[in-house]
Amino acid sequence: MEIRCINLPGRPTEEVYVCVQDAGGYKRVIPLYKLLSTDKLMKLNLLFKDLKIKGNEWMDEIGVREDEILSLYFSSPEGRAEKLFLELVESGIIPKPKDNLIVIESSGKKYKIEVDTLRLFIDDQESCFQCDEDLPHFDKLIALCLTIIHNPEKLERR
Amino acid sequence: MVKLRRLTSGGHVEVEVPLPTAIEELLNHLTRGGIAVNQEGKNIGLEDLGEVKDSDKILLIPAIRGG
Repeated sequence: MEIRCINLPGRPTEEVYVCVQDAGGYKRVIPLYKLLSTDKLMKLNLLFKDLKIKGNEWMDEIGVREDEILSLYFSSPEGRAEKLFLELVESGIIPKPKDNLIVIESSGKKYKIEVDTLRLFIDDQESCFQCDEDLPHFDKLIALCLTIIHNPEKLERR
Repeated sequence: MVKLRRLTSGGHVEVEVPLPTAIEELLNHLTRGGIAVNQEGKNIGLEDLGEVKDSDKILLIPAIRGG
């Protein structure tokens, strides 16, 4: 699991830790800052400051295992949403992502969604959308895919 | 019992409800502009409410609009 220190989206001065994992067709981003205890995050901060991050050693240093991180993640709203997304992909209800993209053809148009950013392209033109509820990332992706498949006219520019 | 999975801001929630309650929930959801999809990926519209079965697993998706 690759660890990264990133700026919290929308808060350019706040740095947080995430793990990035290849999930087959897209990258899984695990928000460590939401899952680990404060003392573990402080240890991680020290390791980063001292540039002591090598391979997976950081997990031993802060006393956490990969399976624990994954279990915490898949019990969180974000992880549960990803689990549901994978279930829908497996049952063929949502197309499988490839190279971080989900491509859906519906009503004579080609829709592309970037899995990590949720940017939407309709016939290669970037388009925007709004959701009535502030859903976790993968729940929003599910909602967007199923809207494209079953009710694409809702995504027409108003 | 019908299994309803609703996508909400705190993460999706799953409840099992009797068929008449499920129909009522679906009616409310669809009239608010939401989408409902069953376990086979079939879209359930207002006109399909009579076809909902007791063993169905239905995903309730909030309305999404183009910007």
